[in-house]
Amino acid sequence: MKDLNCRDVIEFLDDYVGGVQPATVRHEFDAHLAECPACVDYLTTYRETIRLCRASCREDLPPASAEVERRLIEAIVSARRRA
Amino acid sequence: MQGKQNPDDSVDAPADDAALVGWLRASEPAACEAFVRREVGRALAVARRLLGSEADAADAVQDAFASFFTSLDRFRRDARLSTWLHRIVVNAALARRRAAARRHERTIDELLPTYEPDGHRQGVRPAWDASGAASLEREETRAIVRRRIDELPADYRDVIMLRDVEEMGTAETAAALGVTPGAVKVRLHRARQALRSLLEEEFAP
Repeated sequence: MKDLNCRDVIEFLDDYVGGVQPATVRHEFDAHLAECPACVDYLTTYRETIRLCRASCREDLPPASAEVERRLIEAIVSARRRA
Repeated sequence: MQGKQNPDDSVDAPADDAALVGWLRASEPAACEAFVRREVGRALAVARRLLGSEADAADAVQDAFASFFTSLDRFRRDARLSTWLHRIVVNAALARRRAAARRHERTIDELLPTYEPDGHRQGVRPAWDASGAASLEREETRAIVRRRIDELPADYRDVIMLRDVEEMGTAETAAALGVTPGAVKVRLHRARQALRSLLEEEFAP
């Protein structure tokens, strides 16, 4: 079997990160990564991208204010009454 | 079908979905209001994660409840009402984000990696992380990432928001967006690669 190149690794990196590959394929990825700093950097920043995306949209979101929620309920209910 | 009455005159929605649908279809104002009160907090939280702004999220939730009540007759008993409402809220929020982000969007091809004929990646830069941007306050970093997410093409942004932010499964995301699970998988990987390119522009040393 031929060794994986960078393109082979990056195009299936989601499976590697998700841990869904068979052990033999994962072993081939690990062998490439052991010798390719550029792909290790890509993997590191791919994972950082997922972390930042999640953190930026989820973390530290303060609870909605009671006033916003109250006005929203009122708006929905009155729109429903008019319908 | 009636919900049961509380001593304070508010009304509890029935716990069972079938009973709840019958109760809502009867169009009693008290039923409608009780259901909205029960669900609005969760709906608003989803919309805020997908949209960022509280005001935009409130508008999306209002749109979603309007669609929900209008389409109640089409509700199928094999689905769960909360799942169905969640999907409507997700789609209302994504539609608002699409409208707001349209003018900033880039093409997917310009954001994916390119390769030499031997398979080596072109334009390799050293690894980066957002904590390396020491001068950036946390809130500013979040704003940058959110702005960059808006530069993703809509089909890709939708998938990354549902899979990586809302943490919905592949099948659930596919159903919500009306595409195949295979398309969700391909788009998610491309969306992450494209966002990685956009964040590299911000954070690479």
